[in-house]
Amino acid sequence: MNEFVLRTHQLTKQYKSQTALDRVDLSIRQGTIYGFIGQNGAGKSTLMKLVTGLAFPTSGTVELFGSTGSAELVKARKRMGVSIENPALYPLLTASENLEAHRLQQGIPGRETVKRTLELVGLSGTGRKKARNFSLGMKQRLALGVALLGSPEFLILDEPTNGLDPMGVVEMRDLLTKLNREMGITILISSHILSELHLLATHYGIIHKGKLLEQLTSRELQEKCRQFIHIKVDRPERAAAVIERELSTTAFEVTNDGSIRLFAYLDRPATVSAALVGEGLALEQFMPMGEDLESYFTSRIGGGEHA
Amino acid sequence: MLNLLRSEWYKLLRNRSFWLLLSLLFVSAASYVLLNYFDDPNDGGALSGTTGLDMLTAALGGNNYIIKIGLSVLAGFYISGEYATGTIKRAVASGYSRAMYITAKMIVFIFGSMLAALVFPVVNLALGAMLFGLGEIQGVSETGFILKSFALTLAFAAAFGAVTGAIATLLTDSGKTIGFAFVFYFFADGLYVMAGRHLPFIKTLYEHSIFNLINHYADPKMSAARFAESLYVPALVAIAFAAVAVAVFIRKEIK
Repeated sequence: MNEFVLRTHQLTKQYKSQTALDRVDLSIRQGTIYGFIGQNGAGKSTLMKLVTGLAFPTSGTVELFGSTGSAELVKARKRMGVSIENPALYPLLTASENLEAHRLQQGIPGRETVKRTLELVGLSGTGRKKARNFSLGMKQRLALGVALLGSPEFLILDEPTNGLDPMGVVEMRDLLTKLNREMGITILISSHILSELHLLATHYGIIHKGKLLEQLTSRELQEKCRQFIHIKVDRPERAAAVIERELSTTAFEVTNDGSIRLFAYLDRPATVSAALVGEGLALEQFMPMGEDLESYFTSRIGGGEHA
Repeated sequence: MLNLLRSEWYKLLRNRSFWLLLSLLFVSAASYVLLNYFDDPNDGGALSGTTGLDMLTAALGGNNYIIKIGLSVLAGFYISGEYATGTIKRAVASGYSRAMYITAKMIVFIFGSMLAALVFPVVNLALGAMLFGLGEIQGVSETGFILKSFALTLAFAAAFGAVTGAIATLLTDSGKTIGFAFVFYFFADGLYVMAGRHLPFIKTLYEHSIFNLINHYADPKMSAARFAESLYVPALVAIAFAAVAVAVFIRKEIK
């Protein structure tokens, strides 16, 4: 059994003078949910297109289920379910007809598969309603249903929560978690809602301007999202000196707005406040804080830009 | 391959443009026959000079335009429509080779084109024969003429279907496909003739091309050689342009 579902080796895609992907080495282990994070135009969709065969790499290779040759890759894609960019549906067909067309194409036996899939994605009550009259959320669910129809081992989902209402987002998250945990489906998912991704992904890849900056597990991310005590005082320079002298630590930083981030004494905040107040400093703000995925991502890509 | 064909056939049968085209052709053909039937200048019943075979001959003349216009619209919605909806992405990523997928699509499209091209002449002949009687053409076997007409209709539909299918695969946009195919088909004859005046080989090429052959396929007294040419040239064109569609598609990046 192959440990990696997907691996790319120095994968590069060049569009005329623009490099959309720059020597990307990405690996996704079996059974994981890989959150792919990047701004618009960072290269997320380009990578997904190269993996799914919609576009061709300028250089480098894609390895899917251990297969790398073009004919083998085509075969390996049978084990994959895909929803890239907008939900790809036949607008004049019903949900059931959309699934039936795909079932016939994939040669999946049994019409009851369609019924089961409709139930799984919560669209069994749509009857004769055409897909073009669906809400974006329903389209997203139907696109997921189509992707799931062939019992894939690997799902590639580009922004699957786009257009979903808050309940829909939760349902989608639960469904993906269930597919991953109960059916062992490996998932590559991109989303702009980083807080949502944070609740779902077991692994992350951060891509920026075509380069894969970092791959990390959720545990590693937790470790990197450092917790600190946020301190705002009237005289930050004096406070910094007090922390160094009285608390014997240099594990802090003074930010541009004059506040202090103290990465030590997280379990003894009273000692810190007592030291500062004892030196006559006025505490304006004093609270434990920490980075989340969003702030980590922002700091990783250089700040000031948004996913 | 069989799965792809079944899926494409399923989609064609649920394609609104396909049914709209078939319905329009059926209604037009029926109206054409009925208008002829009631078109009596003396206001006193059916014309006696018209027969089912006359209606067929007239229908074959008109079918020239139907094949070109109808198939352009069908290709626009059936083939290019897949790009607009994004379903082409799913198809490409579905684990079939691109060549296999587009071949299945072209086969079903060509088959659908052939079906659509038959509606106008078949309805004209059937309704015409019911109302006027089959009739006869001097020196020509009725059965032979009917069979030849249908065979040529199918051959030309396959050829124009393949050309239009290749255009749709190349252009990927429904509007562009319909527009370009319309303009191309309507000006092709004129362009060939104009170029033929300066380049003799173009003139020869045009004379043996589907654009010229289709203009003469309604001739009941067509020679055996001309009939054979009108069968194999469209067949070769259909194969060649299906191959062009495959060659274009396997190199195409899907946006």
